[in-house]
Amino acid sequence: MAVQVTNYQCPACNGPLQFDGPSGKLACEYCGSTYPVAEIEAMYAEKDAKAAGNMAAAEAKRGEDAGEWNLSGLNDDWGADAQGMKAYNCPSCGAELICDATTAATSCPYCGNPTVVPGQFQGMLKPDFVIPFKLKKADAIAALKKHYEGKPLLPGVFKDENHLEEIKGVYVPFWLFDGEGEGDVSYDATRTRTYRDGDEEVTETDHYDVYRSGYVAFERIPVDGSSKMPDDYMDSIEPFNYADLTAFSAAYLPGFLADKYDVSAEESGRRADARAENTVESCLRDTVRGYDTVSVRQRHIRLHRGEVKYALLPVWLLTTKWNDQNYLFAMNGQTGKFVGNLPVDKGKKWRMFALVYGVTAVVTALAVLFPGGLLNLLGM
Amino acid sequence: MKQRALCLFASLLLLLAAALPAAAADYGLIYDETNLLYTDRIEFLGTETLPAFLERYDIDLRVDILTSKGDFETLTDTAAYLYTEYEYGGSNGGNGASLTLLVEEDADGLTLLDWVAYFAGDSDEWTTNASWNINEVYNLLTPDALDGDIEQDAEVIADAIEAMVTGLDDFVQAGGVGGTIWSPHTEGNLPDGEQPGGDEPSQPVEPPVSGEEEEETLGSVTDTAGILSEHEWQQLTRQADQLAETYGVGVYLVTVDNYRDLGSSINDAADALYHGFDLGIGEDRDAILLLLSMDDRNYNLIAYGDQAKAAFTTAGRERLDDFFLDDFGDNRWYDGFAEYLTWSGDFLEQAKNGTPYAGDHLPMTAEERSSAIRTRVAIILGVPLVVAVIYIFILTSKMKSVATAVEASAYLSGRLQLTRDYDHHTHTTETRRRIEKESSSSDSDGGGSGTSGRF
Repeated sequence: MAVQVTNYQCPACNGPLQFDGPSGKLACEYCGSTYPVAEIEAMYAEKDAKAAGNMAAAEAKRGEDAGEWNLSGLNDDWGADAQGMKAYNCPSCGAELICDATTAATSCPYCGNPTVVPGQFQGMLKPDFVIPFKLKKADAIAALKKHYEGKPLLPGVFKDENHLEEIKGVYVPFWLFDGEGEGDVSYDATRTRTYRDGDEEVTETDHYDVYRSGYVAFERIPVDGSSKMPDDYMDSIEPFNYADLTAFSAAYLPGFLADKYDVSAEESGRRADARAENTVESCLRDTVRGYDTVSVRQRHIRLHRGEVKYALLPVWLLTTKWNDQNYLFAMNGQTGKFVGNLPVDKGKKWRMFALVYGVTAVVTALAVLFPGGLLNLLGM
Repeated sequence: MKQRALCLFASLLLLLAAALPAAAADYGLIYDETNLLYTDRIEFLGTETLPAFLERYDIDLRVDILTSKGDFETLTDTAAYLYTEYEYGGSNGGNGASLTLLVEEDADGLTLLDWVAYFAGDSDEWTTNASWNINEVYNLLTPDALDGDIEQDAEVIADAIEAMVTGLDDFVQAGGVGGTIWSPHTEGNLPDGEQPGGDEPSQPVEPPVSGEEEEETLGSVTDTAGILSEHEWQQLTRQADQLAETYGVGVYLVTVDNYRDLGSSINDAADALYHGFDLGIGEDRDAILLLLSMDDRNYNLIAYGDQAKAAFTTAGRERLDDFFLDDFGDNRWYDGFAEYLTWSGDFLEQAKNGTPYAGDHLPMTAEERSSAIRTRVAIILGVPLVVAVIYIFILTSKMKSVATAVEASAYLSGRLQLTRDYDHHTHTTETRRRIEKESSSSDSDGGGSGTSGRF
């Protein structure tokens, strides 16, 4: 039958305290100090209360949530650029597109609808920044071909039969969020060791109360402001290299369409909040090391929201069709990062599974049943 | 004329042949007039079991399977005639019994027409009371007992013979015949049960004191606790004797009611037997002895002599007892003893081949063997499954490159600034678990190396 005991540490030297029957007190094995049991228990209770008090103090220190996003820098004054801008609407999916006067929008880059209609270029926010396209259409097509390579589960006919329906370079509207995240988290952690003592197996577990608090600044967390641009695709082609982020000029637009935002900064800000909070917690957790188990007892994350900027970031969009299904691919127009889910050939998958299983089973059986023979076969 | 004489002669020959009965068969002390009932078991009973009973108790047991009563009115008369005519019970008319069956051959096999158990001899207790101890034979030899084919009939008859032997063995053991019973287990002593007259307590095995009395010998299987049947004792004795003859190491098995009758510890009790009865073979008196003390369910497995100690090392003995302790735990004595002897043979063979069981080289128990097989099957089936799943998972994950971001680590401006941190040790918990030991090994004062424990 297992027996569990709790050991306290000597306040003087941190040695283990043992109960001394004759004196009725807790005695330190190392320095010989003795303490009444009630005193040690009270001391530990005070320690726990202090820790709880620290948390409460930290909580009291926290005020209300640190403000809303600062949108004061945004404006819709295009100035002289407005002269060379056109707007289009897509009656099919509702996309609102802008481009320069020299570029003709022949079809909607999102739904492929060929009948976009001119719209009013008014009331649109002027972007603060733009990252110009670095990569061309040919680069996007080459990247698509490369994307198919090294994928044994890709249906063979997909490569041959799928054809490029549309390829469009689009400046996608992004909100860029600055801010700071602050957090304090309490953890319960343990360290365990096991050893043999005569006829007994002893498992000793040290319990710890761990606390971390800190802050970290964020710069330009991007969240796409277009409902027609799948968020997971835009997340997947990150990061953009902000070294190339430059003040907006319509001069970058010719040949490309730009989507107007239709998701507000406030709404997009919720996604930025979530990413920032998770990152603060992750950073704090990374500082808790050297334990066998760590569990969060209490957490509080607070964000100080800063400025929001509006930027147009370059994305190549490619749509293909196969077996009556559309497949969307996106390439970061600056870095070339290419993403897009590919279909899996189920038959190929199971055949591959069976082949790997069969080969491994034969090798494993030989190794288990005839270990000497297998080693001889391998020349060992 | 000549032709007529020849025909007459041939007819006479044919008549003679028809008149002659089919040759009967003898299987030791079993006479089979049908000549149809030969099986290994019947032969063993007739050539081993019944003669062993005679040798042990000087009581002659016979079985006659007849197809006719002869000229007698009753089968009992036929049995009495045969008993006297063929001098059953010895020429001096000693104690004996015959089980006489009257059968008829039919299309399926045999039909039992009648049977009788005939007891004779110079002991009134035997002739009067022994027949009360064969109730099981009555249960077996019912009128429709031989309704099956010949093989099944032979089995039924063998069961009846064994039941008779067992019942009479119990009767004799209980002192039913009176006088002194000679036993190969402990010559001069009763193996178990009461003294003749029944009031005095049973006598335990007592090793003789050397020098003063003639030294007695102990058989390879000595069952003073009386937990084995006659048949089981014979089987085990034969097996143990064969091992001793093959390997030159005495293999002994002794059951006693309480080892304290022989020594203060079970090791001492084993030493008393080993030295008192001069056990062992060869100059070194090599022997392996399993001693069971039934009152307190203690056992001792002890090796004497260099050859035996080399074959039955400490680790080997601790493994050997794993093979029979489960059976003893369930009171399956014969099974446990049979395992002991079989594995002792294996141990001796390994030692003979220069690879005695010791250290890491030990035989696997049935559980270990099952576990090893299960482990191998699990590895052979499981490892490829894991490998295939991982491989397909990697290939499938390559097909997906789109995922929602949950963090923004790429957008940190500088590193995390810790404002406060502490790691406080609050307390330590300790769990202790006792590691149970089932048996222990030690050397005896009498030169043996033993392993003892409880079963």
